[in-house]
Amino acid sequence: MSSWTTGRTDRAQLMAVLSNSSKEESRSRSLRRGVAFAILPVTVVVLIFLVAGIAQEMGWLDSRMDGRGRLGVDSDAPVASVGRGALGKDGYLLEVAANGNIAVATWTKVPTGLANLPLIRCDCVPRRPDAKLNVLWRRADRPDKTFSAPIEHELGETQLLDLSRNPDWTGEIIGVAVAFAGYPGDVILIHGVDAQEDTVGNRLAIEIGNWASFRKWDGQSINLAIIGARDRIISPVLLVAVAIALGVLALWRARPPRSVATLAIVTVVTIGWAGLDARWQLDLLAKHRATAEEFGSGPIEERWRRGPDGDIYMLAESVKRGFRDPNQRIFVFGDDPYSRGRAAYHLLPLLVHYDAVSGALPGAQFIRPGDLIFLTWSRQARYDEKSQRLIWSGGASRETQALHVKPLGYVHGNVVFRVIA
Amino acid sequence: MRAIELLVPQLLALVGGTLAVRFAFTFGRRSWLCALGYGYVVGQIFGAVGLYVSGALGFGVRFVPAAAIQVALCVLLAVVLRHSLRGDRGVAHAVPPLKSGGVGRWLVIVIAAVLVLRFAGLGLEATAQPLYPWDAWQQWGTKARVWFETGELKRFVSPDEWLQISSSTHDAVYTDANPDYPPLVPLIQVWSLGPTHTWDDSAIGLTWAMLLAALGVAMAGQLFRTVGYWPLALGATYMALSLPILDTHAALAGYGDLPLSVIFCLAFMAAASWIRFRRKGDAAMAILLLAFLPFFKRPGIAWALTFLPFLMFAVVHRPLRPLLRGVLALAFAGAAVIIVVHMVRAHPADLGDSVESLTANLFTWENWHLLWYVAIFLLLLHRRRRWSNELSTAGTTLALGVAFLGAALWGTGLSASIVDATTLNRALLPLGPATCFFLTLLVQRDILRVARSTASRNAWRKTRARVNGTAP
Repeated sequence: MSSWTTGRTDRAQLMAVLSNSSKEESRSRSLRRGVAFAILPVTVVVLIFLVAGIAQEMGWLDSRMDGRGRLGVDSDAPVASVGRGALGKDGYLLEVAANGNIAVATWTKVPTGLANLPLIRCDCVPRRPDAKLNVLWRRADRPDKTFSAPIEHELGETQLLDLSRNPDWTGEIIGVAVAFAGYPGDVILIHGVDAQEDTVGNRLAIEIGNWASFRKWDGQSINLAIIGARDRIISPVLLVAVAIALGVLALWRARPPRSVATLAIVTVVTIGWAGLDARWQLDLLAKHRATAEEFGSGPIEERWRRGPDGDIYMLAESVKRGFRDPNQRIFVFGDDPYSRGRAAYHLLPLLVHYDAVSGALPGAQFIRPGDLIFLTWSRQARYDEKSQRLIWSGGASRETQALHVKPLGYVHGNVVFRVIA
Repeated sequence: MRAIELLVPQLLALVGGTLAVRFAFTFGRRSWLCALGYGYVVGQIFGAVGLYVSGALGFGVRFVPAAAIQVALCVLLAVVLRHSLRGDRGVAHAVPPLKSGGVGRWLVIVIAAVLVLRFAGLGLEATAQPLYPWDAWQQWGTKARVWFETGELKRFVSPDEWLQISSSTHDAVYTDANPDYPPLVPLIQVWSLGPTHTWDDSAIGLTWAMLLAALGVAMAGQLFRTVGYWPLALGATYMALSLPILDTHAALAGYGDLPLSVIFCLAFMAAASWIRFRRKGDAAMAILLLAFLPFFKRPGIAWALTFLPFLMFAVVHRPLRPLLRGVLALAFAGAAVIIVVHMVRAHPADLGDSVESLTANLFTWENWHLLWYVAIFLLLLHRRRRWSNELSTAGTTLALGVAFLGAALWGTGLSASIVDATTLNRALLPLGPATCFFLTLLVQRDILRVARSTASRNAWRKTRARVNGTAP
């Protein structure tokens, strides 16, 4: 009895469901067809990204490039013809001399036929964002003349210099140099200079490399999340969006019901989104590797010491060890917002004065004997060693101010003074 | 030992806050997610309030008295919620769940694993380096460091005021890039260091990663209540939590924008759920969080005002949609007037550059993945359907946010900062996760229809197999 009742109920259910089944099957077919049409382009684009990332990581892109020359860094070259230079394990460190404002690193032996390789990338890391960077060269036909072209850089990353339309990049090039202008003591780390032939293959390889190059946190505004190089020609996000649009257009031809369309769009967007997100995750991984390498996992004092402002931290820390009075006043003088801001931060909780925004310096009447002055990169202020006076333009009228001071400490261009009178 | 000391404030925020807000949600396993997400955030806020009250009462900006005040506030909130929300017991708190089997179940497992990995990665990165982004050590960390190291709520003034005050009196005053900023974010930073005695600005990052995780947990809980289907709830949560600009603010901790966005989104979700289920607990959560928005950042006042449509829903007893349209028209007209007046008077040349920058930031660079493409497309796709009160009200709130941002960015001196791309995405941040939540509400009907038909097809196959005797 029980099994008979169960069987009858099942049959009734089956009949009820069967009446809707043909509609369901039709909708299902429509769904499958629509999604298949829509998925293809975005899947292809995401696969290209994945393969490009792998190719970049494995170094396949470099080996595929046609016509390539590199001016490397070793004990023979480059040579600092202006300023000071030293070969280290990371590269060639070029520094502006204490009394100068320019430094030049020169290669006097260059590959033959260099003029045929007009895509130039200076593999260099300038320390300061406002350093002016140029590539210089000389030609056999005019050995007395130096030609130059500016190298754009942002956040420590140099951009590709395209000299294919530069009329001076021709003939037999007999010497190349990297020059930069900045403050005394400014440095740039040079790993080498790459030159490539201007071919479609090389351009494509460079573009793919730009998509797939992951980098550490480099000071880019927290308002932006750009993955890969900034100077790429085609945006990966835009490329994925176009692929999705193509898929959706193909889907529209099937005229699916809205629910099917929505589901198909969600599926396609999810594939594109996941592809872009995989790039973001890999970039975060690369960033974390670089962060761990730079800062280590020691106590916070160790991490501050290893940070990009380690020099400033060490000087500020020595000041705080020497002056424990909580009412000790200290004035930070500096042109560079980063340097003066970091100095002020590391000096807390002493009573620090600085103008974080404009960098304006106070009038001398506000500074008392016994106060400290922390001087970091500045063209507004200078220390006259002979008269032991710190001289600067300050106050509301920006008049010349001067105070008798005594230097207490110095670390790489950052000086602390005690005000005497 | 130090690691334990740093975990104490996190645990106190999580446990205290969760137990306090538990009464705002129903009892049952599913609503624990909402309680955990909202609870952690409320616990953090109460911790910061505890530090402020302790400092103001003369006990010093110290962890122990602040923790006592935090616990007292949590107990007080729990008592108030328990007594005032008794009427919620008979009210439905969630839609009936739809079982996710087969592919759906695997999808849930994969997304949950991806989210856990993401939080782990972000947490590691957030705590690996000292405060890194600009404003974090220019205007937030400065206050936190002074208050932590001196144990007092020292005053911050402009550099010129510093010179005047410091020269004429012995008052210890400080200066930084934005001395007038509200105190809640620096106090959350101080709270994050718990009972430790050393200023460690890398440890603060843990709170930022946890805030993002709390947003994820709360969003998954709220979406599951609303849509009843785990793959959709978790998928949308993944979408919100994978926004690169949001994640960047967690990895590079210390800005006020992430906490502000988390609070805004939590309040937004609670308000939307209140319209759906009419439970007072949801309304209480929204109101509580909105009350603290202005103490995170000054624009928090304007963000709180964007909740006007929810207030209208509460007090207006007539068809709402015409009124909402009127409010929206008024807001956009007002914003347009402000922008035109400013652009004509001040910087007409900026307009073209800022539109170009806007396009690059929203659609070309990686800041938002595909969010704004998807938002525009789905809004166009669903423009003709009849929107529910929940959708209309939530949508109008987001649109008011857009109008506010338009007026603030193009109608003031901030227009230059759009061109150099230093403000736009941060300003938009509160809208990001909230938009993900809204888009999920928009598409849920269609997705659930397909999910149900799949479920019924599976049921039919099972029934047929049983009839044929081939069922296992």
